[in-house]
Amino acid sequence: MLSIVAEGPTYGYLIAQRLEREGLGQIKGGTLYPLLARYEQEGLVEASWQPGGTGPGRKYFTLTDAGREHLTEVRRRWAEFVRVAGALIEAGVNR
Amino acid sequence: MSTDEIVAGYLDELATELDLRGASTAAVDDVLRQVESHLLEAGVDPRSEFGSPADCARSFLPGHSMTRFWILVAVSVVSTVIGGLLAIRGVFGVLEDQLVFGILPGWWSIGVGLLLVGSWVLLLINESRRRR
Repeated sequence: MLSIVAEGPTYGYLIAQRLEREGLGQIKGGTLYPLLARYEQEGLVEASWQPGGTGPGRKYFTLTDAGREHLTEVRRRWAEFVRVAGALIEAGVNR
Repeated sequence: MSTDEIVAGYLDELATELDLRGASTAAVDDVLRQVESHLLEAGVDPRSEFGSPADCARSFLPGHSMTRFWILVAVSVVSTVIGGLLAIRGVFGVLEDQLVFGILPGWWSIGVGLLLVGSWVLLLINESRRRR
């Protein structure tokens, strides 16, 4: 989710659509928004309300500097996990 | 029931659940706007998307339990019932020149009763200010 927000200001519904389009399944609002709220509380994203087509408007999220640092660290750890897991799987295949 | 009515009903229940958990007015407004915005755009059923209003409130405000609300209810009941009883019995105690419950002089009973009811009113005012 932070990677999607890192691409530019976006809002909850768009994030859910993007995750679904990328094949990560349908993320329910009840999962998505509390997570965004937590990111906001932790200062990883900042939010601002902007008028939408209809209704109460849209809450746009933008990555903060702290969020960018956190994302870099998460990406590093993920790459490390993939490397270790990949090596283990390869070792099992080649045995 | 129309979709708009279902969404409005859900938002009403969600507002109550958030309020009971002691969320500030600004926090309640923010959550309601996000949920409404998403539901209008996605056109989905609120309960299948966000769960029950209680579940939704819990997930948005994980640190806000109902404990504070129930303590407030308990303190309110004790303060008003005991305070009111002491004040009323105190009035009769003064009029009939008798001790209330066999131990408290009438004026003392009125004073303690009014103090309890007054504390309850101050508690409510404080709670109301805290949520703004």
